[in-house]
Amino acid sequence: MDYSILQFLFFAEIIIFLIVVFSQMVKKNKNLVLFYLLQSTVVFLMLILISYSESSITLLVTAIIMFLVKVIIAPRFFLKLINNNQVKSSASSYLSTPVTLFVVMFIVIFANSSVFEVLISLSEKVDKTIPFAIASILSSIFLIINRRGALSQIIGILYLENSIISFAFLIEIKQTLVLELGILFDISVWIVIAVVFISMVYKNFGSLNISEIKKLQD
Amino acid sequence: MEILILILTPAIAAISSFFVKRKQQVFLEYIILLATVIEFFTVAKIIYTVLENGSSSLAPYFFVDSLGAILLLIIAIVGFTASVYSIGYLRAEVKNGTIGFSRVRQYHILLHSFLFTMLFAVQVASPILMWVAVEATTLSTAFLISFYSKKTSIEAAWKYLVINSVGLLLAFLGTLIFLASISLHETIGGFVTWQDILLLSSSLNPAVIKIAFVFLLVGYGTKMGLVPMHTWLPDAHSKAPVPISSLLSGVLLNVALYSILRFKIVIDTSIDPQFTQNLMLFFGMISILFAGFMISVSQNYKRLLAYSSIEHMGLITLGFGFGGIGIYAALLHMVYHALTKSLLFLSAGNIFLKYNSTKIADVRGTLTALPITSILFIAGILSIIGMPPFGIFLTEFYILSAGISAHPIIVTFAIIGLAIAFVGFMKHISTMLFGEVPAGIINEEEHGLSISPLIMIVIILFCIGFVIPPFLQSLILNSVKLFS
Repeated sequence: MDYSILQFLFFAEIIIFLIVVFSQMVKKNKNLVLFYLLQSTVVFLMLILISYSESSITLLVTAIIMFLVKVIIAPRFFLKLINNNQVKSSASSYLSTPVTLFVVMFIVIFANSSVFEVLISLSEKVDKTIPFAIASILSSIFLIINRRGALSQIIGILYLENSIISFAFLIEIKQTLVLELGILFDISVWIVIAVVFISMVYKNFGSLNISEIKKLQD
Repeated sequence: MEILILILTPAIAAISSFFVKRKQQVFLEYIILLATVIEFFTVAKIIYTVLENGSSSLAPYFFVDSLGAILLLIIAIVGFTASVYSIGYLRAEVKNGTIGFSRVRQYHILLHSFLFTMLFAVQVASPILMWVAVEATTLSTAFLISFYSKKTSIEAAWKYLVINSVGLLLAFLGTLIFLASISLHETIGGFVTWQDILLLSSSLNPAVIKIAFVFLLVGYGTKMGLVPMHTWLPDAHSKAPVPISSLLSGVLLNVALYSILRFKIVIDTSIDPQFTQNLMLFFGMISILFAGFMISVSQNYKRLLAYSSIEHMGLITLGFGFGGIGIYAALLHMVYHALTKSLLFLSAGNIFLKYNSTKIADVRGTLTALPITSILFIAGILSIIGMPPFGIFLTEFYILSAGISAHPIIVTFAIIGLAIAFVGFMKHISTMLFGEVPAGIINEEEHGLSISPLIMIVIILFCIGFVIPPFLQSLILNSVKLFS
């Protein structure tokens, strides 16, 4: 990979990370979905660029399918769900915004600590980029835990998935087309099922606020 | 060839079930019976091949060795009994007016899909495709957990979906880090199999695979129900229809453990096994202790069984953590636990159909109301708490004795956990068995389809408690060699 591609990967990873950070503060579900669309587009561009630099048709096919699933189909699903159920506002988070940002700051420091130093050795060319990928992964997990909204949790899981996929590109994991498609198929089925479940949760509980769903008692 | 049959049978059964019309409900029953019988005999053929040649494969995509064969055996037996039981269970639920035809068909399609994903996960030779299959089990079972469409079952399914998805994404990250630590791409060309990885294990980066194993253990450990990632398990197992609970508890948890063990086998060849063992000891011990306490305070008999699954998965993990004879005992314990838990959940299903409640407080006098089921239930309880002549007594003894000299504190804590669970079980079960049958409950046993699978499991459990069949003994001994 030449320098300009490495530089693009660096900025793309920063955008992926920042989208997760901003999503911690977003209140409207629609904005959350748009953020996901943006993040997925960045991951798609990363994949296109890598496929170009390596002249890989397999990666190009994967990128196109990824674009269809993550940039077109999944956001449409979510937006339709929001419009049909009139769930415009996302439920709040468990922690206040300042505390949330403090935790994110801690995550960034942790991602740059010696704990993950060994992962940088996987690809020395992107040693400055990998900590952002790790921070994105950890921040996505934090988002899932911190948000009360069912849709936020689903978007959080998809952020986590995007972060892991971008991390995989950085450390240059290559698999055959069958495997890539297997993973993509899994994710697209997962998105459909998640949307069905969100609808079921809303229909039964009249809310997407997870803290109100406490019918199960020991 | 047999591998292909085993993969295709549940897939074809699921598709065929989809096309069954309302007035042909009996065809769903024929399909499930035929499919599970074919699966059973195909597994028998695969085991025969594994014993003869050391492995059975459909190169390079599918591969079954002794360890995989043990898992296939568990899937085949528990899958068969759960399927036969499902017929009677669903008939009763339709008769009660709880569900209609479309729900029955949906159940059959999802059950076949569930079996398909588990069989695929165990046989596929690629770690990434194994992950895809394990993730697919989440997708097929989420709808089975929410089968009754009650608020509680939807909540349980939601928890299951979210927690397991996060866990499995961490397992995916672990798999990627693991694969990145070895330069496979040039030599193999993309499709990486366990055999390739084992051949190149000397080139693994020790520091990187340690991080990878942590993610893998946490990720697949979530699916396996290890504490503290277990929170979905009691809800999911208690809300799913009982035949599904028996599959979740007896088979799926073992499939998740199998995924961890596949990585452990490779990782232990390149770094000191103490690293993976210590992690497994930690998670195993806290799982036993926590589950023991929860069993003693549980108020719902299906949750009681679910916590017992956490306890026993902890015990099996502990066995692999101790190493040596502990591995042998842990593998044998996987078989005993799968059968016993299947027996208990299916018996619990008969109790549920009779009393229409899963609360221990609502169930009294089962010995009078359901005499045969109760006796079978008692047999299951005696087995699960580790009473002789059932095999769990022996495997628990072996597991704990494997660690007593090197890890006396862990063994002490494990014994405390097991003792608390023992007392908890005895307290709850005596409440359910004896006393006066509540008004409105008719003293009448369920029909043959709800009893015969249970009797079959008790007979198997009793027999293999006394004598371990030579083929099973060989499979276990050959599997132990993989870890050394």
